[in-house]
Amino acid sequence: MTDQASLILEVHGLTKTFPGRAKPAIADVAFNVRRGSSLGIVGESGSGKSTTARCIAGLIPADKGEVVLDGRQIDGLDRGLMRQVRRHLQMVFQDPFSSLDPRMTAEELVGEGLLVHGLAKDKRARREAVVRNLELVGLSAADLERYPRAFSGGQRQRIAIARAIAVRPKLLICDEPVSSLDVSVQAQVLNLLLDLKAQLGLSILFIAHDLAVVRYLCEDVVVMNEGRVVEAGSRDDIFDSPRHPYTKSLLAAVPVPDPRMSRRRAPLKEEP
Amino acid sequence: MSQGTPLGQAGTRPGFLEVSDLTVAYQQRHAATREVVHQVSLAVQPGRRTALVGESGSGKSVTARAILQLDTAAHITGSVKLDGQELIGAGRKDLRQVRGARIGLVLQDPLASLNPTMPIGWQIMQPLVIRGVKKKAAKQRGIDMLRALGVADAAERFGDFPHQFSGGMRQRVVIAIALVGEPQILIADEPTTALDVRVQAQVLDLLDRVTRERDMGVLFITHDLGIVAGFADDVIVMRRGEVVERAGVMELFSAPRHPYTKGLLGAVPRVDMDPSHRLVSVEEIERDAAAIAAGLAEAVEP
Repeated sequence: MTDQASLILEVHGLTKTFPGRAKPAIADVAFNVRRGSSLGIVGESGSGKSTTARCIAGLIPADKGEVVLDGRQIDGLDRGLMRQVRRHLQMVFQDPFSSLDPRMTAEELVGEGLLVHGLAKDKRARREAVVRNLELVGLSAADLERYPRAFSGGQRQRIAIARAIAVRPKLLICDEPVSSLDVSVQAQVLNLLLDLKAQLGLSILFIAHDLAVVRYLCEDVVVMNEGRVVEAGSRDDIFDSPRHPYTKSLLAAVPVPDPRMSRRRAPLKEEP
Repeated sequence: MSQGTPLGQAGTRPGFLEVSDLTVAYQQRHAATREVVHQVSLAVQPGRRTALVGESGSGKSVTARAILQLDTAAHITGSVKLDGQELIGAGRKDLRQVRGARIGLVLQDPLASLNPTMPIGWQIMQPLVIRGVKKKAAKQRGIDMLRALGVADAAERFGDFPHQFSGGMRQRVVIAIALVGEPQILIADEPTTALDVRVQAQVLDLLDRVTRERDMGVLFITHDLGIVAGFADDVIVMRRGEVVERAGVMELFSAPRHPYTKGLLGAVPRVDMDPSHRLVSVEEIERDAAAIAAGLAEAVEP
């Protein structure tokens, strides 16, 4: 269907059981992310979607399985090699209040990756690159010296995104990046991600519990439940003709902001 | 949806809550008092659901708490009348006869609302026991309430502790505590926000059914316009402590008047909508509205 060169990420048989747990947190998770596209993993709490993201990013070791980034197998690399790879696997987390070091300025936060990976030849070049990236996310040079506490939640998430894209990663992994934001701010951040994807050709792995957000942002969708992939397909497949009963029940449960639609909805069956 | 009585014709049935010009301020340590809710008026009528919708900082939760005067540090002015009885400035004893007995409350986080050290049955019985209901009768009513909320093995689980329940079951316990005293009004502050989407749908269906069966008035506080669309009869939109728009639910969604309401509706991604439709932000809508209002549409920055 798709040849290897068109895939930025391949995940095969990813399995992880946390110490002391009988049941695996994820089992046999497999999917591909196409280059320049975004894939959303949706699921409820405990579905294993975040564990999947963390195993891919190498933040926790998987027990089994393969992770291939742009043709290179990256699971089980030693620390030194993983550090090189990490430039190409950047993450944005849910809570912009705890994911940014409060003692670092916006310039330091966005410039850190450029410094660590030697991507700017001197301080001036680095500052210029930082300003370019701040502007890409809707901030400006005036924000360079400001600390995270001086920014709103939405602005902090923009800084987190600028920090992640500054090193031009091959894959941006977003773990619930808008779920702690108000709806009007959420819309801005979602539009920003769409714009960056178009402008920079970013490939995005997007983890979310909100199906409407995934429909808006992601061309491909993986539905997870209890650590397993229950259904995967294109956005149209999943949202217009879901096959798995679990996917159907998820979609039926989402409140639709239209009183003419939602009042026709039949009550869901109680779970036993 | 229930029809209810039009505004101003209360009095035939008990359970009419009327809030007028409610203003809530907090004393700040080294500054003037800070007003967080400014002159909010609303009514909750028997059998009708009013939704208070807004983003964080809108004052929607502060309004709900001020109605029951739960926060002793808040400086509250205005009027809160329940069937004509003024609650602002009422004594502790009078308030205790309102809280739980005539107005029930459900909060977002079931773990924070429940006492982890006591069995859930004991907690459900408390609103009755406090009011002098005999233990045996209180237990029976508690079990019946829990069963009405879809907990099939209510009697067997009555002695279990909160940690032995899932999130959705815990919220059912919280709702049982709120409703066991048979209040006429329920105030629910983001009651399903902490729940997964399928559990949320079940809890919403339950709230819908039990409040309808009991002909209760509901004040539903939420940030989620999808929930508002499915649950509310009347909607009040709040922003920065003030009411910016009030309308019937059909009218609000089909013809929102205030730019902020339009912005909110345009900013919500919809699971039933084609994604080629780009979300708009509240700021964009407001900027356009302001420019048009000033006759300066051409001054809008590209």
